[in-house]
Amino acid sequence: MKRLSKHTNKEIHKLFLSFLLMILLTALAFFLVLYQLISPPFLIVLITFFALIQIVIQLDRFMDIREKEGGYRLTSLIGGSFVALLAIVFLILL
Amino acid sequence: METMSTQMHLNHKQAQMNILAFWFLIGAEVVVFGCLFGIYLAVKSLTGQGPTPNELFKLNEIMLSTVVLLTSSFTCAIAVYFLNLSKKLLTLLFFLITILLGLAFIGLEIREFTLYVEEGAKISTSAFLGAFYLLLGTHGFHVLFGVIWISLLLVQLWLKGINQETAPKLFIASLYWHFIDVIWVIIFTIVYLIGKV
Repeated sequence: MKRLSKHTNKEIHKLFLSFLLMILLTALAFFLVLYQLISPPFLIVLITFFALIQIVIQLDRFMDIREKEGGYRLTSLIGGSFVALLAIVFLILL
Repeated sequence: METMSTQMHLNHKQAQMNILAFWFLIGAEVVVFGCLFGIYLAVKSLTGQGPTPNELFKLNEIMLSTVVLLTSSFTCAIAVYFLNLSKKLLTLLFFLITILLGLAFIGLEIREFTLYVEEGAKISTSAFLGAFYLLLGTHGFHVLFGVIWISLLLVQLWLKGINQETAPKLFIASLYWHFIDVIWVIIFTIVYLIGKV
């Protein structure tokens, strides 16, 4: 029983750390934009990078994308993202 | 049957197939939102007589919506954690907090849209606003759908407990909820933050 509760705390601790990191990245991006501390092109690259880290945390820690099934989950997501990317590029070029 | 753990319910072949099928749906949803982002990026400079993104958005309030939705994603992950431990009441409690935060998010979004419309920024004012409301409205509708879906599943959980039928459904609904949050992170960055740069 003790072992179980120790394990529970550790797992919740991990989830909480992921959540904290996401809030920190969001807050950092927010303040960088609010006070325009960096020149625009670099700022856009930086906040996009922050968003990417958050997406990876969600997919890896909360959505178990690496779990079993020989990568079908990731393949499905990459397939969708590829089509979406093509749509975005063509819509912008239109 | 009663002695089976939640992990066994989730590892059951049918459950694994359902979860995989849901990932295919997520792949398709990525395409839907990709198209809406494409439209938004293509027309965001066409503001006509209406306000520009920089003039329109109030970042402080958007930050609050973002924190609310990120927190709901965390409570949803905690709910699934308790689902895995077969703790019915804690699962119920954390899913309940998740949907309440979801409702708060929808309330904040309705307030935001009402303020914009009062300022004269309607869906028909400019191409930018049309694409903005279409993208944000679609996301907001997904949140609302998630709230209704999880609420119905919680009724089922309350009546039937954690079993072969309810455990995979709740896990799949949690995937949906996290996916909505992923889309919001992209909206927050591309629409609001970059709109303010």
